[in-house]
Amino acid sequence: MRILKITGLILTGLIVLVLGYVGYLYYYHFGRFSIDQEKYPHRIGYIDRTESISPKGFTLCSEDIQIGFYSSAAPNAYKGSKYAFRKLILENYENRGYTDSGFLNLRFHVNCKGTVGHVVINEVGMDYKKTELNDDMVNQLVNLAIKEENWNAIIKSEKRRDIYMYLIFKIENGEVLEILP
Amino acid sequence: MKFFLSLGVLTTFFIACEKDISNLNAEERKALSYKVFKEGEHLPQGSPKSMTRLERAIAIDPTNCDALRELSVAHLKRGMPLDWYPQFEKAALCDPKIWVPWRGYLYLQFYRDYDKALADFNASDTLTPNFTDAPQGQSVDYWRGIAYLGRKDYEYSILFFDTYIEKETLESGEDWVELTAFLYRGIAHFENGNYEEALRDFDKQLNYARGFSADAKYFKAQVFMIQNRCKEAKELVTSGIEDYNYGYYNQHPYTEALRQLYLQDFEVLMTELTNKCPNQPS
Repeated sequence: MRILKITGLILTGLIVLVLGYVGYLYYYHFGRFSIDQEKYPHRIGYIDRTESISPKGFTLCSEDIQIGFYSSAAPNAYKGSKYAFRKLILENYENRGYTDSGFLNLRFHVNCKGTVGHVVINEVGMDYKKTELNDDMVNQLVNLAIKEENWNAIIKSEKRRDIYMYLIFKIENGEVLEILP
Repeated sequence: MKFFLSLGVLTTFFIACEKDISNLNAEERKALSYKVFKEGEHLPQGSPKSMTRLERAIAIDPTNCDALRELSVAHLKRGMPLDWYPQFEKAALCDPKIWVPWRGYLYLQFYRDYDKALADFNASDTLTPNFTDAPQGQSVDYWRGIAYLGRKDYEYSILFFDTYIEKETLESGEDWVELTAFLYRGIAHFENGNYEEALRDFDKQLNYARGFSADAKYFKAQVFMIQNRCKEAKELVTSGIEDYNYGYYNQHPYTEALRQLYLQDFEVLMTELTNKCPNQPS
């Protein structure tokens, strides 16, 4: 009986020590780092649902963080590769007398069904500062870019995933010079 | 219960240990800022904790140029130029010798902004005279070669690739030359109509890549098509597709590589070859 009691005490002590050590490790590696909630409420790249544009009824398939924050999803996200995407844009885009130059920057989600939503549009000058680009030109490029025929539904680890994507159209005098990244 | 209480006391103790920085001198601030910066390096890039810790490092020492730069990186990689640019500017102002040539590389790789990239690479010649900077591990001459190729200024592209390759060969040997330098110089020669020089570069690329390079085979096939060597060109396209499918093609983890090829490029070339020489087998 006494041996059982001693063994029990030793085991409890060991468990407390291990839990304490794990708690300390967690604290040391993550817990002790604070968050400035006002400035950084979300990770960089997070898309605010209320400040983005989506087709009616668009939802993400999962609450999990989307994949592709490092463009890693891009090679599989384009239906028929970026070659096909570029071809669609360049063959269908028409310069209707635009003279604007700059970058048209889109960030968006492609959900697990291959539908685009939560689109954030930023118009950037050649000086990398906010600017205004021709509305018709912007609408044309956005509508071409988000076409469902451009995007694949992604399966990773046998699970359908929502992805984060960004595009930058580099434009000079209304002509699309580059489709980045 | 006691265990959790102890943890609570331990946490309070560590929080209480956070230093009051108002009395620190410049050297102490530098050291503490560096410590805060380094200690959070494992945190996921762009996460609220990581960004907050970078802000803290900068608040302790506003001349922590590495932290200023690191604060911009997640914005760059996640396609947010409006946020990336002003932050990287701070790093470039803080330590121009390091971050101006780096900014040139980023203009080139992420924005295909050839003129701004070249301006920064050229500025590095003045910022660090008699020293060849190497942002992202490659000489500014290599990057200038790529920037001029992107600008379709093939003569200058060749000139800078020559400079880079000669220097690297002299200092370390030709087998230390970045392989894509041969590929890109070959493309510049090809675009300039110097087909023999182009072939020499594509062969160099293939030689050092042990015969596996979808890009070198594709462009070599382009030269052969012009020279009416359709059979050899078709064989190269077929072999290039195999290399491509094994992953032996020019690519970059965060962006499309300059002149990156896709399988459709090979299919289009094969169709052109078949139309040009319908009677020659592939």
